[in-house]
Amino acid sequence: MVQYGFYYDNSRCTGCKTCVMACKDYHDTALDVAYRKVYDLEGGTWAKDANGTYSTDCLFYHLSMACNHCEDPACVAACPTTAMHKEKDRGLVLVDDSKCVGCGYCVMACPYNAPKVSRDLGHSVKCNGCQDRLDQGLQTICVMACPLRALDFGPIDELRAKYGDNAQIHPMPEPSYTKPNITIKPSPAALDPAAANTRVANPKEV
Amino acid sequence: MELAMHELPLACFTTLAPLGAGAFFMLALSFCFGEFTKDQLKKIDRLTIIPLLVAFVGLLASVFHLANPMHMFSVANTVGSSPLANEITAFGVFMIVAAVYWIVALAGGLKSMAARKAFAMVAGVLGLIAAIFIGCAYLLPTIPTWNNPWTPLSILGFTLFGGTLLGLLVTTCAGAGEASVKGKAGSAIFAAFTIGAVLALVSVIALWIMGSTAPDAVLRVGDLAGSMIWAFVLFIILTVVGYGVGFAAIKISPLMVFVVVGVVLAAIAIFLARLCFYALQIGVGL
Repeated sequence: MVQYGFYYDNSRCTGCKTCVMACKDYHDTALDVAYRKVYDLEGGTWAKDANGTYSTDCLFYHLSMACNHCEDPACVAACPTTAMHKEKDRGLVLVDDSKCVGCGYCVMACPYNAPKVSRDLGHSVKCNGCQDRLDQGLQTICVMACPLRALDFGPIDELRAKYGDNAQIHPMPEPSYTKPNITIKPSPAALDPAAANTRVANPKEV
Repeated sequence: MELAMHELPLACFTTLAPLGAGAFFMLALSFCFGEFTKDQLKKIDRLTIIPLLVAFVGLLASVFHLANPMHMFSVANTVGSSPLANEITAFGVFMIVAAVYWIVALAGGLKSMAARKAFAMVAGVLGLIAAIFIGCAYLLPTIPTWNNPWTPLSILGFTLFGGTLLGLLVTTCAGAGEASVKGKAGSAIFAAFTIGAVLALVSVIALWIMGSTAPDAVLRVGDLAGSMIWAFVLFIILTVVGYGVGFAAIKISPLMVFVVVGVVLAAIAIFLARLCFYALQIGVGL
């Protein structure tokens, strides 16, 4: 097996959400379902100085993320039916519709907010790494859609050799929980220690 | 509140299942330590349908929360490795044994007191085990506000606290209230009831403190806790009052009014605690 994963260049991402839209369109997801999401992180304040001028320590950045097809997926560990499983060829984390009961434990367990239960379909749904496109030798739709070339998908060893192995920017969890197959180039804002105090400004959207 | 409402069927399940399971444990204690007439036992057996139904409605609620209950049998694949599969199995085993116990008792198969004690105790202990497994299903390492011993202990507490009252409802309706709270039986069920109330209070308070102070970049935990604090405070009040009413029923007199009010207060208190629990699902990430 060659484990696949994502590369995300946080320093290029403008938060345009084209990746989200391309994914929703390609996978024809319901209105309230998105396999890829863009989180808008915002923080800091404005302060009035003694001379009447204002200064600011505001910062913002974006985080585009789908499923990280983890090495040690929390969703798979929580699944009571083995419907949520790691596929053998590329290590993709997939849902077997014929087994899933739609209990929602994968949704609770995943610290990356990747799976969602579709009551209409009767099972969990999530990013499948555009498996059908990969089989045809094509790249995933989100990678192709990004106008900033901020995303890549492929064998994670190759991506790590090229881009390093940082797998966390705020507010992602410690990689030790699930060993996510993602490598991220942080933006200057995400590297700022104050990034730890930023909050997701678009919770309803994600 | 939104998160809590989303898990409404699970909140119903985790309220009703402990009540039903705990009632079987209370009945087992009464049989082991108390003395009943044949007529009383007959009536108790008939009314044992009450906790069985309560647990069954809980089971139905848990089935309704599934997006595809038809695939439920694939759960059997992961017994032992998946905490949720363990929960479903443990509760299923309890339900089957409890139902068989009820049918055998109704059919007059428990004439020997030794057989009755043993069978009732097996059902009761399986109920307690199921309660612990229900709690253990929430021990997800990526949700620290749930991933601690207070989660299963709270369900065990609800089982002993609320279940004792529901069991007392059965014996009281059967005209055997006095007999079930007399002497050793009274001491035994009072001990279970008190341990349950204390466990429920301490663990729910501990879970609330952890949950309402957890850091999170997506949810506004302060606002979230603020929107649920009414339920938390009401839980404490109802549990304390429910304990008082139960105390009166066990220690003073098992008047129907005490017992009914006690069951209602305990059921509402447990339900509120479950809503708070689901609302304060604060994960390590997004």
